[in-house]
Amino acid sequence: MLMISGNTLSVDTIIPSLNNDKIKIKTINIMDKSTYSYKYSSKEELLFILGLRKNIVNASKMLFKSRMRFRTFKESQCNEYYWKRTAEGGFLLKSNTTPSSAINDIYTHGQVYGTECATAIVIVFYKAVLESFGVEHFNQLFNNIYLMDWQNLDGNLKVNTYRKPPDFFPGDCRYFKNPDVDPLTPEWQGENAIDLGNNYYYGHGIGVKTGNDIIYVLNSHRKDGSDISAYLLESCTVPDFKHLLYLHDS
Amino acid sequence: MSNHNSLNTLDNMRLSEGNKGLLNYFHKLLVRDTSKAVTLINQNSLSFPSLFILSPHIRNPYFFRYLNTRNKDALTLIKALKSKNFSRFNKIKQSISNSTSDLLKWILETGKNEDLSRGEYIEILDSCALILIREYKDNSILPTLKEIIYNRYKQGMFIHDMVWAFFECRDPNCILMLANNLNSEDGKDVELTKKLLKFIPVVRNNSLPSEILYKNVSYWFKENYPFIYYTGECFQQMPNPSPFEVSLDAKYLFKKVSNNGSIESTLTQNELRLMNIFDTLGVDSKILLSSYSSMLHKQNLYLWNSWIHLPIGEQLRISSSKLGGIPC
Repeated sequence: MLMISGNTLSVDTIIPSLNNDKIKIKTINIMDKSTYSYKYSSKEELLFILGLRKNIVNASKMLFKSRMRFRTFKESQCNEYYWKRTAEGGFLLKSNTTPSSAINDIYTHGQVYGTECATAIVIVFYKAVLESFGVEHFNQLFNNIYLMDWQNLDGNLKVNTYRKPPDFFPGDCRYFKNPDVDPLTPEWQGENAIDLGNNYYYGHGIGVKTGNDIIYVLNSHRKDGSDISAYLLESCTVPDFKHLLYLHDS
Repeated sequence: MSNHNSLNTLDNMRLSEGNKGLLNYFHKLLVRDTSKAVTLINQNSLSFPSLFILSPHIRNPYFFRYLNTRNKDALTLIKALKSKNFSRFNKIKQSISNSTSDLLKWILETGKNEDLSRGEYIEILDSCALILIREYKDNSILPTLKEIIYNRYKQGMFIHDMVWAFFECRDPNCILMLANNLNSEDGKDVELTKKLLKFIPVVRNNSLPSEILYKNVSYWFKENYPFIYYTGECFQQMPNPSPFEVSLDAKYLFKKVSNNGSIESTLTQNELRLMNIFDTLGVDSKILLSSYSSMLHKQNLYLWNSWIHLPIGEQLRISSSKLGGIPC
């Protein structure tokens, strides 16, 4: 169910403002059919979230097309003009550039970059926020970017993990766990993947695949003879939409 | 500062002249006095980093046959680790004469202080740790892994896989092992400990001084130990993973928790009924009930037996009045 300012919202009243965008329509239909009440303070807040989710999906597809490689943190690589590669394998934004051009460079020169799946998701989130905020605003707010993992996000890009959310939406980051991974390939212990809708996911190093395909790939990196399958966790991680809206409007 | 005089000659050379200095020295020695080179590299006191740095020189068949079994086996194991396939590793390890776990421990223990930032070296140590903990279930190596994690953190090096290996011991006691570093005088030690133990409620809001934080963690651990289980969550997966959690169900019924988080013993009909009601409550009420139940069980078993048979609403009312929480 959808509620705005305490009133139930009929999706029919909002669909005309979604410009036939499939991701936005899919997202709002999931909210509408849910037994959970999705509450927003205004129509603008709802539209902002729908737009950001759409941008996450688009940023995922574009990153896949960029041909960025899969590399473990120990052998990660980046364009040193924009980023300084740190000892632990992360990419630190250089001071002689702007955050937006450094993020965009990953998309235009993807083949120069190589990193793990968690960093790829962080890149996707930054790119989606860049598209939602615009270059100038993004550069003002996100000038402290360190691309590494979930623990090193810019103070303004907060994310939330929900361990058992009532529904899943396009733009969610899901996690496929591989409990019996071969101990000599720890990079396959699991895969962070963006929900693209219709049971398709983008996972860096695996590509755009169905959930079953991702499980199949992870299973091929188990210990030989293992009968414990990889599986999709019930949790999801997403940007803190309310915080981003606050920044967006400030 | 290590005492270089007590070290193996080759280790001494590496520490005083650097990796290149060691390579140059050994290369010249090989040409000038091969038998001395053999003697030095075969000394028992040799540490793994020196063997690793010299491995390109000593892998050739002419020299390899003069190596002692420890060195031959260690080089064979490194090759097996690089295969990136645990089955292949298991096949290759059958050809060595030393105990595999002893060799893996030797690599970690003598290699722990080396700050070689080369990806290959880090990867070898990470693989040794994962095999010892996950496959051999050898938790005696945990203090060494802890040292490696903190050393690497101070140098800004990669720690994820080593942290993962550490928690994969699945033993809640490793929490206290980390908590001890809250007492460290090194700010970086305290900083990392807070990051690693952020899943503990008393650490999450960590504005308290470290010594009080340590006491709070110790109290939390003592109170919850029988109910703590390993979840498998790791830093690759989410911003604030909880590798260990407290089973509120188990704490409420005062039952020991199993490795997968479920209650170890078979429940009676009445316990099952209580559990079904408990599961419908909000998390705050669950915390309130489980905390009071655990406290009362330790203080007075007779009173606990009476309390646990009361309707849940009544249990909540009593817990709330005793502990100060609000039933929701």
